[in-house]
Amino acid sequence: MRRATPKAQDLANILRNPTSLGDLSEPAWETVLRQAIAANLQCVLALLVQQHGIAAPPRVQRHLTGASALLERQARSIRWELEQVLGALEPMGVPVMALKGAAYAAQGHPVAAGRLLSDIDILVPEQHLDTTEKRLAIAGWMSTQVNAYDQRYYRRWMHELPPLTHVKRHSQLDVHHRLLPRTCKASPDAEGLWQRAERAAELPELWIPCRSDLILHSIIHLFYEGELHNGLRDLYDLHRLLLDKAKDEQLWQALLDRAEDWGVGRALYYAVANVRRVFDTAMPDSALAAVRQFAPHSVADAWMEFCYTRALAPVHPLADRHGTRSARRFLYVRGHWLRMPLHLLAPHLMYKALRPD
Amino acid sequence: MHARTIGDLPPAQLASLLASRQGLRIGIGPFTVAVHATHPTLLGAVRLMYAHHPLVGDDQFADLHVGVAGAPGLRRWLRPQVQFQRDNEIPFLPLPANQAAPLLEWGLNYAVANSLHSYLILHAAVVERSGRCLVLPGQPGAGKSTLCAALCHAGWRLFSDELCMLDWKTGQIQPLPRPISLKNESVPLMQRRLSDSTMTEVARDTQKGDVALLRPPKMAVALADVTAPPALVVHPQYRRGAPTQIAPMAKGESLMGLAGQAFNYHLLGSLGFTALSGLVETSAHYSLEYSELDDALPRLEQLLDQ
Repeated sequence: MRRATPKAQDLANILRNPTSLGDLSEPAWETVLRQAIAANLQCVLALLVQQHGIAAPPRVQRHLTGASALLERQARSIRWELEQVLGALEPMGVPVMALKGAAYAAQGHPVAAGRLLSDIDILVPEQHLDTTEKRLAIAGWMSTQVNAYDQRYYRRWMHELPPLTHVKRHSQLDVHHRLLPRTCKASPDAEGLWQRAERAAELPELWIPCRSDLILHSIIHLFYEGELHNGLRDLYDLHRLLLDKAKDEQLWQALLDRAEDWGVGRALYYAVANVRRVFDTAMPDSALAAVRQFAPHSVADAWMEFCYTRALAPVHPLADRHGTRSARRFLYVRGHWLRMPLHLLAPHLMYKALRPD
Repeated sequence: MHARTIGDLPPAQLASLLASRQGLRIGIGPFTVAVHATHPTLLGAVRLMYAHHPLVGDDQFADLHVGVAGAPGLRRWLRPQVQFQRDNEIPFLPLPANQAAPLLEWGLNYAVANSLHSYLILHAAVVERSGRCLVLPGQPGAGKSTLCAALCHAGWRLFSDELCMLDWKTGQIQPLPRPISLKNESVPLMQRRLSDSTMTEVARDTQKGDVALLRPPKMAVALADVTAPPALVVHPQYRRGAPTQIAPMAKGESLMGLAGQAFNYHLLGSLGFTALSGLVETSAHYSLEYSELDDALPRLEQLLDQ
């Protein structure tokens, strides 16, 4: 059995209680930094050290300085990429909505602080998908490294185009037309999303989801996902999106109603359970009671808790516990299962298992 | 007390440290690299190449965890392969096992260039003399490792044969003295020229041709904490049989050449641009075409002293 990381070096614990960083020895810092890098949270760590006036050992500080240095340029490049996308699509009358990290950044939301982006996610109305793909190709975004099987798979069943890469800048763009795959039982309605959308504070030609949709998308993105490379980062996003909303009954009512409409109540339940377990996020009592209606059977509930306790940790041997591998494998299959009916899923997983690469 | 070096370690202890959870912790100036390796070919090479480097205890912070291990799969019975690991990440495809030692160095370059963003990191060799640095940027094959190896055995201090680490806060260059990667014709050339220095066996048929590692001089390792400012940027180009030719280069052209050889310039944005402009502003710039080291070396000395 693997040795569990001491509590003081547990990354989630540190995110919840950053002042504990002040007591770390050099080897403990090493453990924390390695996990933070694996979880894509090194810049968040650097910001916490700064905000709480913590004196990290100089050798550690060198890494934190390096991590913060990436943020200024990233902020500028997100804005630049979004402006380029708008420039390509706006003249054609295609409205563009930023999702996830790009939306947090465009809105100037505190959750964007320290958050590293690997790609930019946007949503366009499905009827404009062809125009979008053509215009983006002219502007330099092409789909690369995806074979014919994947191309067909994306186009027939998915909620997004195959990932696009800019030929010169190598920036990644994910173009969605809905929030979950076509094949998924739950179907968040994209039209409602557009009706409730708001103008981005930092870039008024850009749309962003209204605040309850933004939160609910972050939830379904995490709890329908099978590969939790950034699980802890995404859960921390959620914690920060829900921070200071403990008295906001209106927001919580909107979340509950929409979760019901979209058929994603179970994901809302898992989100609440996990964000409270890991970050102790405050919520209205009425919302806590109401979200119980979406809970699974108690045995399933216990099993899912077992899995998420492990899979929402950094992907690093130092953060692994007994059962982490099985938990990750189970959630991988579950993620596919939720997104596709079995008669489509079985051949797809078979292909993935046997493909030559 | 005399600090313990990697070369002082009995082979059995070295092997057990390489296989341990904490890794073999090698001090390279202000950095500590924890090396994890169970592959037997690596043991001898690490012992030889890092003989002068201090052994660091596991009570101190390690900057990087890198490792080379046997690649899994049936193939290991037919044609054993090794793979590089940067902590929990496997960034490259496996290579034949005889390339374990060069793979560790290539992987270490990758790890440094992708983690130590408190430096602007350029693909360039750096050597120092009388407190001033000579920066030799260049594409693979331009001859910078050869020049670098010859220079650091002719009165210059080795900073690095691959990575120019420019501290963007201070404008100083940070040494990172590690084994020098010699390629193809430069291997026999250096075997003859530096006959009393220590080299690994030659790994044949790698992606870069034949490769051998040359141990960094003891003095360079001992002074790895001592930084120096840039003074001279020379863009070298080896051409067989060519006479030594040195020509001044415009600052703008040199800047473009340097930016094209930067690993994290695009990530650092304006910080990177400011640092690079500083380096260009404070240095003199030349291009160098050469074939004879004995002819080129004194000319570089003259340039620095001008």
